[in-house]
Amino acid sequence: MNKDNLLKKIILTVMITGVVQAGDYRYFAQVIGQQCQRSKQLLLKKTYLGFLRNSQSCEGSFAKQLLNSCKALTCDSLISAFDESKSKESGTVIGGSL
Amino acid sequence: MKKYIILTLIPFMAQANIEKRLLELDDRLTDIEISNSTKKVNVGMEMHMFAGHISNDNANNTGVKYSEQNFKNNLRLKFSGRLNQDFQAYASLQASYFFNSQVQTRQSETDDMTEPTKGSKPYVRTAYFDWKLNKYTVFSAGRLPTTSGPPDHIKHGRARLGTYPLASFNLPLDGLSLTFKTPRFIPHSELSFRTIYIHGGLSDSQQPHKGTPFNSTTPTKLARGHDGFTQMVELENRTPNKSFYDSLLFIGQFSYLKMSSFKDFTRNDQLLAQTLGTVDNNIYRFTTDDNRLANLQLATAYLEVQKLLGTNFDIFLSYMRSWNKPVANIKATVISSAHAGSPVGTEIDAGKFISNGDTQGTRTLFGLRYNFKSSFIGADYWKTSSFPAPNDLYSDDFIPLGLIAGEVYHLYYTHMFYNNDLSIRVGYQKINDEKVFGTFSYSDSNQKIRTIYTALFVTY
Repeated sequence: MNKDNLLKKIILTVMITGVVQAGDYRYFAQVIGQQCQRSKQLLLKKTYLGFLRNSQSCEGSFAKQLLNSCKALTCDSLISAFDESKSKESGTVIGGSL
Repeated sequence: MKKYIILTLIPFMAQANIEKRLLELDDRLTDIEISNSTKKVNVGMEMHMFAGHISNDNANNTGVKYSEQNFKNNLRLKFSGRLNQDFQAYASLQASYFFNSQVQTRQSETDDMTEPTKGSKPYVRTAYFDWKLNKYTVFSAGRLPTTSGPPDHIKHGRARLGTYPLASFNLPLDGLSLTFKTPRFIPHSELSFRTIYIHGGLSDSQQPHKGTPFNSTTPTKLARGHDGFTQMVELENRTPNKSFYDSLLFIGQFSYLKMSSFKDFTRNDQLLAQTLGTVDNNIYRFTTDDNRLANLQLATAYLEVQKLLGTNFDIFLSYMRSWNKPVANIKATVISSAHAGSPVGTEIDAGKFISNGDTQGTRTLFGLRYNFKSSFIGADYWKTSSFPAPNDLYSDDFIPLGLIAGEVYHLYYTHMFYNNDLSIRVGYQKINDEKVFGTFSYSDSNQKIRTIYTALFVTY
């Protein structure tokens, strides 16, 4: 991996962290982690970013990779976890930001 | 010779080029970090708009049939602020109004949170913080998200929208809360416990050090505050074995409320409508003889299962039982008479809170939903028995169902658009009531209310 690619990944991670502050990526990662403990962080983050663009489809390459890497996950459960993570940012449940 | 010089310089030139690129990337990273560090508040908006036709035969009330189209809008502005990973605050302002309700009708503004459809003036719906004290515990305080709890989200096609199950309370309440999420010891599950304390002060807001009499005729007896404790347990399970279900949510809730008496107030009420056989136009002053209105207990269970048995069906079941022990007697004195039989000064026994003696009541909610790719069809059923604690004082819908004792059937179809952020629902609701909750208690009723509506729900 050359330095440019490495730096691009760092930038992407920082940008996703910024986007994540708008929603609740942590909750998304936590829910997926319950079903799939070995899922890769970067793959989860890229899947989350894909859902921010289109949350009704698992056709994105990262969502597909995630589903292939963990048979316990379904497209519906991914979308459901994403929907719930979005609602977390509105503070719909007392103490829900834990 | 020249070739050797060029070969010697190439690594230095490449190094200089990489360093320049690194500086550029560092600059861009710094911009992103600054942008993220300064962005503390997110702003969102929801709009929930209804258009429909309501008809009511009013069989046992005025007998005057009602049949008219209605339009209603609920506008909600949402704010969330993240001080850091451990401290977050949330707030929302809401305005709810029927279209053009303030043209001629001059709807007055109140500070009464049991009347959410107040007109176009916004009010505070939620304003609270979550403070993560340690890995497992969150302290919350403020006006808590106690409205639109499960299963209200089901018909919207959204994730959970509130904390308390709808069968127990649907009222924006200020309080303090401690949420404890246990270390994970049940596989694929989250188990949490939540304790909520609610206090309602009835002192003079300008001079809280003085207190205020709850009754102008007995100025030595001061009003007491409300006190309420709620204990909740929640279990969320997402099993990898999808042949049973995709996710399961169980909520158990118990609440104990000591409700203080209201300060005396004046208003029109239909206390003599049945005796008179017409509309009661008297103006009454309401007082109580004790500063404790009632003691109320509620126990509620809620179960929601998504993708039941690997199918596209989601189901929910909720059951609430309430125990009411009324204390104060409520008295109405005529201060402006419109009827010869009830001159000024006439005292009328207005009963007690909810019922005249100790009573119990239940509320049962059952519903299911079948999911298609971008839409779903669903049905709900509500049933009450005896004298349930009134709960749905805060409905965004046309008709607050929690004030009605009887049966409700609801059929709907919802289609989702634009990344699920916009949903349009068409529905039919049939309400057969037996009792309806008025100012303090239930009165017999026999209305057959039918509603056909379409609702648009959009969130940003």
